[in-house]
Amino acid sequence: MQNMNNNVAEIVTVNMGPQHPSTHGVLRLVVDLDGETIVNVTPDVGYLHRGTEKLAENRTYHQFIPLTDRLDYLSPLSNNLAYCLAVEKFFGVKIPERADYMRVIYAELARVASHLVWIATHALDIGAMTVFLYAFRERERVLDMFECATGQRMTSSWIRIGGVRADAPEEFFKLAKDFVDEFDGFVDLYENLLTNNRIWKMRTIGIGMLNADDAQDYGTSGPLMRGAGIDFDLRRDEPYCCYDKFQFEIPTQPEGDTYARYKVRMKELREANKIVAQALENLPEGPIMTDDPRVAMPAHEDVYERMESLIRRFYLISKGFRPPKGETYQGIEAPKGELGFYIVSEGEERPYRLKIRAPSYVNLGVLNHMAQGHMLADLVAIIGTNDVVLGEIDR
Amino acid sequence: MKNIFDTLLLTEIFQGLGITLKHLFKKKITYKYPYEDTPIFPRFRGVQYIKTHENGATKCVGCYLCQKVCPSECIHIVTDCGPNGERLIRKYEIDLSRCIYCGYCEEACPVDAVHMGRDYHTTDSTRDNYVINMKTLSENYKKELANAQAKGEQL
Repeated sequence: MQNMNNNVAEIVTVNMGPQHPSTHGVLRLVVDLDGETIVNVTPDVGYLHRGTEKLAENRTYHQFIPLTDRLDYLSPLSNNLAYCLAVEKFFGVKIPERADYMRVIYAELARVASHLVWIATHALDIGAMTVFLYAFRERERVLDMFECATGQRMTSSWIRIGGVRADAPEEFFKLAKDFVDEFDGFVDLYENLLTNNRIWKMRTIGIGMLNADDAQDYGTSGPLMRGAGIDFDLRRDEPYCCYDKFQFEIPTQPEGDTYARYKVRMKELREANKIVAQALENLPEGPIMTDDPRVAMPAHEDVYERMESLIRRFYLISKGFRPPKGETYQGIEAPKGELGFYIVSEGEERPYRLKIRAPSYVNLGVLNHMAQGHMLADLVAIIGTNDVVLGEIDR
Repeated sequence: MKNIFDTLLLTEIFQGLGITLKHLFKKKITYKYPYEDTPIFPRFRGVQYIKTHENGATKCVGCYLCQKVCPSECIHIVTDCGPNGERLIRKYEIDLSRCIYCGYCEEACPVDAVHMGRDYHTTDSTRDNYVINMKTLSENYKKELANAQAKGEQL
């Protein structure tokens, strides 16, 4: 009231979240506003902190796998994969080909599931309810596949150090083949609803600009970076599993706005589907667990029959794996960006220190830069396009 | 011209209603959950059960592997030495309110005793009821066996 007469703008600080439905979890944003224009956004993280990194120091390497599910809970299998690859790097174990292919199938289906939640909630935030219903319908099918193969819809903990816990049942391949065949049509449906939609274009084009230099300086990764025109993808640049055997494209868009990132993710959905289709077609026969005695849990049939396997199982569970002294880092292209595990080993059965490079956490750092100068209503679109998961940020 | 035609005859509204009509006759993808159970796959990891021998004795030998491997430390076992030197299981408890259903106990068990069942209705009003003991776990096995036989599946 005091400032009504002079024209000095008054900065109002408002609080958004942590219970706001469109902050995708428990993200609290302290927003400084000049009228309706955003001056400054400060993310306040930590509401979901569970001390995962510290817990890792008190768990064996094997026991930590279920905790990785709870990082980016929309794509648990990607997290399992990143962690297991990091530990495998210590031992230098060779993973059987079939296990590699199964890992690729799981990781890419996890990408599909994660991106489907992104398109659903992002569109819902901006006001397109229909897309939400359709995308969740398809996500349900992916989760059904996960349940069929791993036993749980979301907290799957299925990828093991040295392979995959068990082979997928026949039913999984049937469901996956059906899904892969139909999936391009579903993406067409979403694109039909959004790509040329006037309201969607008005809400996304030119919103949340991020140019290539800034994307690199802030350390972003994943679709956020590719939406700014940087052609970088760990699946192609530092191939892990057997991604070098698949034909796929890395979609990029030079514009660097919300619409560009939307287009990148839509293309990624199609590419992920293409990879799953190739993997299902060329899936080799063979074991799904390495026979390296240092890490491989012996199969149940062996344990019932053979003394040596029984002793090995007792040894592996009660003593755990003991990697050599040293440190390792392994990053994978998770749906949100580069997910990396940095592990320091002192030669014990548990890590001396474990650091998680969570893509959402790094990507959230650029939020202030993207939101400055936009309207408050656009902040919802900018959080949506950032695609953060709080389980991963707070850890 | 086409615009006027569309506006006057409300073609887009009829198009939209057509989609609604199409979905009306499609197979429903939702379930009325509390009244009907959602279908689950054979591998589903639910409340554990412990297999028993033909004579009703438990298959569990009290080796402590499941307790050791459990990441959430929800399994508590106490064993004792019997009169003939055999191992007796005095206590075998699973705290379901701590359990994360990761299936590690099933994976660790060397004698095919503990398994993940398919029951996921674990709601209760007191915390004590979440701690299930060997008796309940063996009863769970009977229930799972009956369910599986009714469906013609193998456990």
